[in-house]
Amino acid sequence: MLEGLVVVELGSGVTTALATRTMAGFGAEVVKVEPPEGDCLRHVGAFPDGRTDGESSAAHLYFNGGKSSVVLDLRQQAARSALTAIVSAADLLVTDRRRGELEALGLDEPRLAAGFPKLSVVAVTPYGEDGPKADHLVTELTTFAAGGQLSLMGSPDREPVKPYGDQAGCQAALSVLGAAMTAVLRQLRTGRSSYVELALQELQASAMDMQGPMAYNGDPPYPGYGKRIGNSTHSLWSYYPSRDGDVGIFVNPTNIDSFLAAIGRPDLRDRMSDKTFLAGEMRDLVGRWCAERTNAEVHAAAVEHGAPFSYVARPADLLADPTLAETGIWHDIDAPGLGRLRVPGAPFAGSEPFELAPAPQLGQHTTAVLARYAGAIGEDTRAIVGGWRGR
Amino acid sequence: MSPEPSGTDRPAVGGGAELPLAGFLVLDLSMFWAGPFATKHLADLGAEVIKVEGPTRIDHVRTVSVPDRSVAEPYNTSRYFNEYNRNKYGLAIDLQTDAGRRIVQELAAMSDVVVENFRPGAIDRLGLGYEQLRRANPRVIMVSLPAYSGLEPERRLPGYGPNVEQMSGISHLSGYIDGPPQKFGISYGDPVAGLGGAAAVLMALVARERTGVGRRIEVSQRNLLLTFIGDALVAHQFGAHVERQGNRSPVHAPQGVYPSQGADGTPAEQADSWVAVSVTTDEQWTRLAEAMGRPDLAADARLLDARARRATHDDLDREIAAWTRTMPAATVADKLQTVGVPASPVLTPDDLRDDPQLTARAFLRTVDHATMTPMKLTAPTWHFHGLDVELRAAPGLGEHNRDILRGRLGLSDDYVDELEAQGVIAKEPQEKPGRSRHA
Repeated sequence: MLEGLVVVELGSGVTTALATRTMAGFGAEVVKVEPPEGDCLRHVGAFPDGRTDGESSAAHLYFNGGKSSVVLDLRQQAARSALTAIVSAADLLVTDRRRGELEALGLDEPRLAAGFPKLSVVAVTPYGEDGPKADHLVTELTTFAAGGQLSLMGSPDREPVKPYGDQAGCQAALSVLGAAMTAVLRQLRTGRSSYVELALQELQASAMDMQGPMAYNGDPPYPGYGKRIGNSTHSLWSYYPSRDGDVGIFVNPTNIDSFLAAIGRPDLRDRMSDKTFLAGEMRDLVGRWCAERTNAEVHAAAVEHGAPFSYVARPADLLADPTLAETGIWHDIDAPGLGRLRVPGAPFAGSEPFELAPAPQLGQHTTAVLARYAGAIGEDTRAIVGGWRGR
Repeated sequence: MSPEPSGTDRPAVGGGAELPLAGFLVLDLSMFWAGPFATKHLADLGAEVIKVEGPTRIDHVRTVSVPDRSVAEPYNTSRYFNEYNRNKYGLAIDLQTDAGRRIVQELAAMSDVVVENFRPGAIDRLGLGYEQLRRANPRVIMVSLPAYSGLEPERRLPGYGPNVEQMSGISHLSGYIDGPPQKFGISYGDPVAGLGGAAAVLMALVARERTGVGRRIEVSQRNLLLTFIGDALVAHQFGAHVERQGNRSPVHAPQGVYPSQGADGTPAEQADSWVAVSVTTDEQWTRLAEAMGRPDLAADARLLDARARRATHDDLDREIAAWTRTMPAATVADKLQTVGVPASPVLTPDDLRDDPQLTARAFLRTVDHATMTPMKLTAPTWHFHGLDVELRAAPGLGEHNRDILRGRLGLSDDYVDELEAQGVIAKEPQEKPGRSRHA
C-alpha cells in the first residue's frame, strides 16, 4: 500500500521502530539512522546463549525488520549534513528526538518547513514539546507511570505492576502510524505537508477506559474501579487456575446463557441475580470447573457454546496455534546465524502483501544510502560514520 | 430515495474545512470502546462520522458512568460515551426493519469508510457486508474490529479485552516476578484495536488516493496485540526464557515502583501512593544514592555496575523504599529529575486531571453539553501544528436523525415523520437498558 513512500526513522525506541516497521512491511522504504554504537534495541536483548552482539538482540530482530540501516555519527558536521540530505529526499521523518536535539541537528520545525516543504514530520516525545516536564528523563517504566495506566494494574495489596515490555511505546506506535498516514493523505490531497506532535503521556491518558472520563469530570469512581483490582472484579469477571495454567471467565449479561451452558449448569439461570450466590457459591463452582480442566478443554467448551472464556497463552501455544497461523499473522525471517524465526507480521489483515526483509546489520546500507542521497563516497564517509567500522 | 454520488467535495453536516479529513464520510456501526475510539480520531481530524445506533440497540456504554440517573435523558450524559464519541453525528435507526436496513445500506454505499465491530458474520446478514457494499461503491473502505479473526473456530467466541489479553500472550509475560499472569487495569485490547483501526482506515485512504479502489481490513484484537510481543516470541525461539519481570528492567538496575506519602502527607502505609524510579547508568546510581543521603551505597564497590545491582535488587528496593516513603511521590520525582535520574509519580486518573504537565498543555478542554453542565473532554492527541480542532459533545441518541436523512439522503420531512411514527428512528431508547460496567 505504501510503495514509493520514503521514510526516515530518527529514533531510538519501540515507538518509532514499530511504527516504521509496519510502514516497511506495507511497502515503504524506511531508512533507520543509527549511532555508531547502534540503536538501543540492539542492546536490550533478549540474546541467544553465548551472544551479546547487537545483531542477535531479539528486540532488534523484531522491531527493525524491513529497514535499511545507515550509521551516522551526528556529533560530526559531515554526518549532520548527510542526514539533512537524506531527509530532503524523504516524504516522512519519524522521530523521537526532543525539540532541542532536533534544533541542534538543524531539523527543527521552522527550518524543515522552510527547506523541505514537501516533508511531513511525526515527532513523538514522552511529555510533548513544551510544559514543565518536557525535558524530564524517562524510561518505559516512568513513561507508563506518567500516563495513568500503571496505577490501575496489579494487586490492590501490592505496588502497581507494569505489563511486558514497553506498552506505552507500543500503543504510541499505532498513533504514530495513524498520524503519519494522515499526513501522507493530506499531502496527496492538498499538497500540504504536516508537522504532527504526539506525547506519550497524553496518548495513554486519553485511553483510560471509563475511569479517565469520570475522574476528569470529578465524578467518584465506581466501587473497585478507581484503583487496582488485580485479576478478579467478581466471580464472572476473573482469572482462574486451570489444570495446566490459567484461564479467564469474563461474562457480561448477554453471555449468561452461553456461560451456563458451557459449564453445564443451565439450572442456575434463576440465581444469576443473587449477589450473595454469585460472590460465594458461584466463585467456588467456577473455580472447581476450571481447576478440573486443561486450558484446551476450557477453550473447547467456550467454542462449543459461544462463551467468553479464554486461556493464558504462552509463546509455545501461540506459535503452534493453527488458527493463528491460518490468519496469516506469521512472517518467517532468516536471521543470519540464528536460522529461521517466526515473527508477527501485519498488525491488520487485508488483501495487501506484507513483506519484510530481515532486520539490517548495523550500517549495512550506509554506503548505498549515502551514495544515493548524500552523494558521499569513499573517504567522504569516514567523518560521517564516526567510530563505526562496518562493512 | 437515491444516494448522492460518493466523493469528497460534498458539504458536510459539519466539520472543519481545513482539517485533514474534512470531506470524508465515515459510517460508524461500532459500539463499546474499540470502534468508537478509532472513529473518535477520525472525527477529531475533520471526518464526518455518523454513529449508528437503534431504538433498541443503543451503545451499551451510554449506560455506564452516568453522573445522575435521575435526569431526563441519562443515556445522553455518560462520561464514557461523550469522551469517545465526541464530534460525531447521531443516527438511531432500527436495523431490524426493512426501511431501517435500506437507509443504512444507502448511507454505507455513499460512505468513504464503514467501521464495524459486530460478531463475525452479523454484518453480512444485515446486507452491509463488504462484498455487498463494494458492488455499489468500489471505493468504500470497510474496517472490521473483531476480538478474534473471522476464522473457525475462534469466530464463534465472544471476546472482551481481558480475554484477548490472555489469548494474545501478553498476560503470560506480564505480572509480578513471583506472581501469576496479570490482567491489565483497563480493557487493553480495546484502545489498542481502536488505534489500529484508525491507522488501518488512514492507510487504506492513502492507498485509495493512489489506486482509486477501496478495500476491507480486519483488525483482530488478538493479532494486533501479538505485534506488541514480537520480541518475546523471537527470544522464545532461540531458547531465551522470557519471564515475568514485575517492574524491573532486563538491562539496567535498580528499577521499581516504590511507596510514597500521599500528597496531603498521608503516611505511605495508608496512602496507596507510588513513584516509579529507573536507574539506567552507573552514574545515575551514584546520583540516586547521594539523593537518598546514602553515600555509603554510592561508594560500595559491589554495586558499581548494573549486573551487580541486579544481583542484589531486593536489598536495594528496600533501601530505596525506605527513602521514598518519607515524602510524596511528586517530591521524590522532582528530587531525582533534578539530579538526572528518571522518575515519575504513578499518576492515578484523579492525578491526571490535576497534573501540571497535562494542564500546561491544555489536555482537558471544557465543552458545552445540551443537558448537562459543561464537561471535560480530552484534547485531540495527534497535534497537527497550525490546525485548530474544535470539540463538540457526543450526539444525543438520534440527535441528527432528521439532518442526516434529509441532508444526506434527501428524504422528505413527511417520510421522516413516517419513519419516526413507525419507530424506525427514535431519539430515546425503546426499552430502558440494563446496567453493566463491562465494555
